[in-house]
Amino acid sequence: MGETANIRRIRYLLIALVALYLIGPTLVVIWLSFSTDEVLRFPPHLFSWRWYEVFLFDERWNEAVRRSLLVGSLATFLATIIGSVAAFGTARTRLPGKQIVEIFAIAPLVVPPIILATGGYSLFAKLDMIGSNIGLAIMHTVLGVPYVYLIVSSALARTDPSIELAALSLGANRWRTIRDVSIPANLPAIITGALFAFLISFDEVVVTVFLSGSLAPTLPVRVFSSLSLAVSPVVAAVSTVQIIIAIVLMCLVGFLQRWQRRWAEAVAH
Amino acid sequence: MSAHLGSITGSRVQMRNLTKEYGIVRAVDNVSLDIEPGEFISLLGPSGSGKTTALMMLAGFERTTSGTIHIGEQDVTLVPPFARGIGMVFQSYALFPHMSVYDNISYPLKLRRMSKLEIDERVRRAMDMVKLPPDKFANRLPQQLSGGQRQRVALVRALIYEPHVLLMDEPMGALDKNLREELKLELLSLQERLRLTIVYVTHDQGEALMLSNRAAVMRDGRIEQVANPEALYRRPQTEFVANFLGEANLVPVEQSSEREFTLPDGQVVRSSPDISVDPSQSYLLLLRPEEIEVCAEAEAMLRGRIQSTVYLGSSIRIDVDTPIGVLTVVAKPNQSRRFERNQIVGLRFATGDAVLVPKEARAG
Repeated sequence: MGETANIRRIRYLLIALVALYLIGPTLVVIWLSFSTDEVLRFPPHLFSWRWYEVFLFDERWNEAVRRSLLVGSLATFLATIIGSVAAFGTARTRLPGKQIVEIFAIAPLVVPPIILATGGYSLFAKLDMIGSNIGLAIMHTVLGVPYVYLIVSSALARTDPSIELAALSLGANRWRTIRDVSIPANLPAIITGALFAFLISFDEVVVTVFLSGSLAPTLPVRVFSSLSLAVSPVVAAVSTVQIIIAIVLMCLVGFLQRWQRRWAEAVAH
Repeated sequence: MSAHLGSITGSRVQMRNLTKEYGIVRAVDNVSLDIEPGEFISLLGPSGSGKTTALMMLAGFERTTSGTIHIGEQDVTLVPPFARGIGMVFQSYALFPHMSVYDNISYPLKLRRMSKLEIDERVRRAMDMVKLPPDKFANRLPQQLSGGQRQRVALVRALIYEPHVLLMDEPMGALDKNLREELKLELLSLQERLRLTIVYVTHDQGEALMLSNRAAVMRDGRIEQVANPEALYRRPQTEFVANFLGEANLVPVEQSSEREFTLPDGQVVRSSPDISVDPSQSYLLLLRPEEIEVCAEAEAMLRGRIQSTVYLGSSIRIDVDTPIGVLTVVAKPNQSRRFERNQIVGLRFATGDAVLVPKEARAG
């Protein structure tokens, strides 16, 4: 009796330690964001919202947020379309070269970002697009495609492949079939993929550093450069906001996945 | 549904020299079949026989490698599926998971730009017809339905726009036995009322025999025989068909005169006059288990030892080792008569009107 209680206590302790190890750095950042100090120091003197005010009202930070949102939206839009089309193409057609499409769609996940950054830099330097939002969005799209592709593919593997044939037999042409059946029946997965693509773009640093040129950087790059210039606790406040955004999006992803899984149950067993 | 759908008359469907090749594999090999308006025809065969591929070509989901398909007067060989005017029921039912029952059923009517009012009236009536009261089921999602209910929704969705041909791909495959029997009867009565042309793909010979006016038995991409269920069962033209439909005892025979054939034990059977015989071909005598009678040894043509018995409730299935081979017999058990292993029994069967099928040349 006493022994099992002890074992249970040890188990909970281990779980708590692992959890602390995983989220410890995040908790430290949140803690630092409420600092009253002028510079980042640990442990901080508490408690103030001043660094959140700086983040909200400083034009340079606002500029970074705007740029992140603009590039992120554009990259999300493109990555969602490209990734979904590739997923449908490989899951629902018998076209030759499917494996090649698959490899290309997943490649950016395994190629080190520094290589993509170097390649992107050489290409866009030639095109005189260093510092352009379009160039940056294109590179972020490349990074987001694998996530959309993998998430939509796995949803397609679970939904009934006959539903598109059914729509065609009922009189829907190919366009109506895509609009009325293919997209809505996989919408939760497509939205999940889009959220991931956005998150990837929203905290990408390496490729962005190479491509942002002299223009105002995106939010994570601005965080990065402020850390190396003057160590102000504002970066902790910014990071905390980013963490909250990430948590909200992940909750949304959890909800969307449950939704998509319920649809998969409509298949006959 | 009858009020609206009563006007349906099925179309004629014609397949001419239909072939489908995937690389070097011929999934469907030169199939020709004329399906009469209002006929219920089954494509029956084991998996890999090409029956589903043939159906997919009828539906327009697979391109034909060669050959033509006519529905009614129209050559639809190159017509896309959505313009063929067919209805289709899939093995998985293929209900749209993101649409309610009501939206699933009304979808084909929306595509046909029918008014909201007319759609509503039709959908409600159709749902009542298949015992899915709209008050209770209209707003449910497919995943909230049982297998039988999903099947009904799929059927109504495929019929509500009054297609001239209904294609069904193993539609009972995912249902349990009782439900299957019930739905078969419903399908039969529906077919009788609507006079639809139905092409029904199945590997279940019982289903095909019960439902169809005619069945085409397929094997390796070809049609072995097309006939009504009774003819397929009583007068199979090939060894494969004889074995595929029900149980068959096939006894090797030697031709002794034009219509006389000798059994291995020397007894003679006479072939039925409508069977034409090729002298260069070896033949097998077909004896269905219920055509062999267990009798007193004095009246018997054959005697044999019982190898095994299987009790089936209303009947008993006995394997008897005889001089002409092991014969499977189905007998009615009764109080005075018991069958046991190693017991010697007498057997007899009619010797006139014998059904002969050509013996297949087997490689190896």
